[in-house]
Amino acid sequence: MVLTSLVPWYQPRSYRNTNLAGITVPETLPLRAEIEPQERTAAHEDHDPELDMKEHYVTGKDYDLGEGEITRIIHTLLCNKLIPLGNLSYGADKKGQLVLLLSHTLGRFIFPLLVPFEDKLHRLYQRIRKR
Amino acid sequence: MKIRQFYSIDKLVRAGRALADTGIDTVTFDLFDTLLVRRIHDPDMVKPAVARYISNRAARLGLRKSWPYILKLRNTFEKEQRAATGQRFVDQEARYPDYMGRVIETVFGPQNDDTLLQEVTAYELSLENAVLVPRAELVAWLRELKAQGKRVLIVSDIYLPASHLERLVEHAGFLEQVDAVISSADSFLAKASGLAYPLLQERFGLDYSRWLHIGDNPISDGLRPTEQGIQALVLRDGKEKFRKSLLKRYCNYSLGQHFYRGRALQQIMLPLEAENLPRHPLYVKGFNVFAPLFSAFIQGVAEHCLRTGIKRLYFFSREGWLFEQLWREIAPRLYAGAELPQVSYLYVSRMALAPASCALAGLDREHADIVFLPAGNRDFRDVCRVFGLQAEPFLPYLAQHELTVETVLSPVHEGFIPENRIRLNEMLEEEEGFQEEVRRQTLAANQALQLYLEEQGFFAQPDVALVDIGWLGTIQRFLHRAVAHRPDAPRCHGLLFGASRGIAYPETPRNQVKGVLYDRDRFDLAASAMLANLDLFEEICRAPHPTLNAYRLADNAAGYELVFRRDDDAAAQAEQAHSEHFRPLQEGILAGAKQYGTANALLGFTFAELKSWLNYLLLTRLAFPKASEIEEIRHQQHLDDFHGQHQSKVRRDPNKLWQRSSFALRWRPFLRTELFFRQLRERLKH
Repeated sequence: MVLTSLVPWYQPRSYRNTNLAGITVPETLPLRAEIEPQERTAAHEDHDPELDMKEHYVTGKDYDLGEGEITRIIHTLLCNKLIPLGNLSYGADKKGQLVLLLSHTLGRFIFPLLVPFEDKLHRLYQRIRKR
Repeated sequence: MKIRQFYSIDKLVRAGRALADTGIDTVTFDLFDTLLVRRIHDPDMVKPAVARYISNRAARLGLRKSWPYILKLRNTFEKEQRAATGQRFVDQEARYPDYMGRVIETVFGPQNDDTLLQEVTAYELSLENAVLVPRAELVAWLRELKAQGKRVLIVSDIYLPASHLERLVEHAGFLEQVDAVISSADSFLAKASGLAYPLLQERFGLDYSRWLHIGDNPISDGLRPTEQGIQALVLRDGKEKFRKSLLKRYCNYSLGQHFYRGRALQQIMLPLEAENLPRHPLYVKGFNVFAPLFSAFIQGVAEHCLRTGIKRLYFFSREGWLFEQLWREIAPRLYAGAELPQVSYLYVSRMALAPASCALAGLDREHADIVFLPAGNRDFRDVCRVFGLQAEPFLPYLAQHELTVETVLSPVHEGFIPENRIRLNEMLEEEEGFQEEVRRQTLAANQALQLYLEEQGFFAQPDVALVDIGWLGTIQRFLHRAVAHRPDAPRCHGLLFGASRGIAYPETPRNQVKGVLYDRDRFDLAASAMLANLDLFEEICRAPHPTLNAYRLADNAAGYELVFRRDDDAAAQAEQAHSEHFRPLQEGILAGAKQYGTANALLGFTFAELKSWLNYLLLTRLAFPKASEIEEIRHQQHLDDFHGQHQSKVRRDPNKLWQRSSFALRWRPFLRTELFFRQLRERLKH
């Protein structure tokens, strides 16, 4: 609030997408307007073009949910050991968490390197498994 | 014999383009994992969902056949056909209509025609279409080849005949660019043995030396065509393998650890290829956070209705607008073949129902107490506003009890004296004239409401499910009170997203509410995180139409009319601007819901199995959110006509994380933990 009064052109981040002026209210609002998913609507044009330029993808390059979901999961499950957060159904085992963390962070680099040797690695894995 | 393998699509397409310019006149593509990729790592994941569909269809005819039994039948018959085919052909292929027809006959008995088989096939293909995603770069190259005048064929080793594959390709949007689709299920000659290629050569008069084949299997799509002299390019996409390995890991973990079930489901939901476009950050939040929450809520509602046999379901306005859309996306997919309740959207509101609820029972103390729950309501004028009453006829009764219309009756306002509230309660209980006047003034609203409900078929079923966001069940309370006198009034099963139960709900066998995601009567600490910001959920789900103000008798064919709030004043315009701000979020929720329906149809998780993951989402996004997440989504305008305009003594709640400043959110250490412990104390106290 202080910053806004001192620097009039400063807009808090939460308001950057708002276009309170210039909104045209239709004469009759549709009672059962349906929104088509996955289509860019006029609402996108009203928003801050900077945000349109910035790339926010639902599926990131590491195939995680948004940014760093796996670290958030690990953090939450660790906190659940220290303070009662609620029913997270015994959480998840640590080894699995570590494997997933490594998979999400390093997988997109490692897999393309290992794919040429997929058959050999698979035979090695089967041999180790049998032992 | 060296097979040309490529580990990325763009390198393959580059090599393919170079080859295509060297006299190639025919290009054949493998279909699955080449032109189309599956969201799931194992194609067999579709089979249990189809088995559940058949089981549901059988149940509707009174046949009790479990889906594992049907799945076992399918696998057995397919295996038998493969063994039989293997005795005549090198490839042990199967044909879907043949063995699925046997399954249907075994489950349902002999059939006069193949209608049921076609319906089962249609369902399986619709599931396949939902999990298949065109590989954008390869499809673009395919179109380019066709435009250059090349012959383009698709050839696949699979149990689905070519006619079915064509439907998949058509759904993917490039059937017109394909000259023919060939399946091993029609001829029992597969690429795996190499016999499919001579078959194609003979059928289409192809020249091996001018033929290019693209696929993903080093043997079927690499070695075998090369043996015939066909140029073959094999795609071994490391990123695809990475994606599938992650999903396989989540699915395997979810078998033993319920926490991962929701995570595995969201992994399948992720958009791929051309679906994964740059989006507004609120869209991403809607897809990843609120879509699973609301979709799971809808699933919980559907489970309740199917378990209790409820045939009629109403979504209350205005949040029910989004819920109804989610239902239409999710329920038919999750419970395909089952008899789902008929759904409708009901225009209701506290302001419209409050007067109607007093027409027969009058205004009692309990309902007067509800008026003073919002901090903005202060005196008898607010009581009149909420219940649609004219104050003048009540002045003598107020005067008899030493009250005026301006007497402060709410404890959160200056000048409140407890004795005044006692006098109000005495007046409500003792003055029959007062109650007569209340009934007289509100009768018309009640009659209009009953006409509306009759038109909506509300009284036609013995049980109805009423779905609302929450939080006290006030709307259902008023609604039930307004119609309870009728002999045909149904039993009302209220299903709320969250039941905070700030005031006791008058539960009876004919009128019950239950919180699906959160219910205070069931101690659930993690889910109680939603109490950190209840308004947020209302704003996200808000319909793009004004709130209902009243039911009014009218001189038209229906006999009533619905009176909506005006949409041209400053508050309504601010609300509309706010709704525009949340539009990307709603788009993300609807897109996510569509994927949720498909993903959970495949996985078959119940609401209870997903609860721990939903608790995690509520905890991390509402009780322990990042500062940027709060700033991005924090509500700006919450319109509540039930809430009066008076300024109360109540200041900003220090326990509300979402009302803290950005500075505090970013820099105050352990703020979230501190507020979470305060909330824990509140939950334990109550």
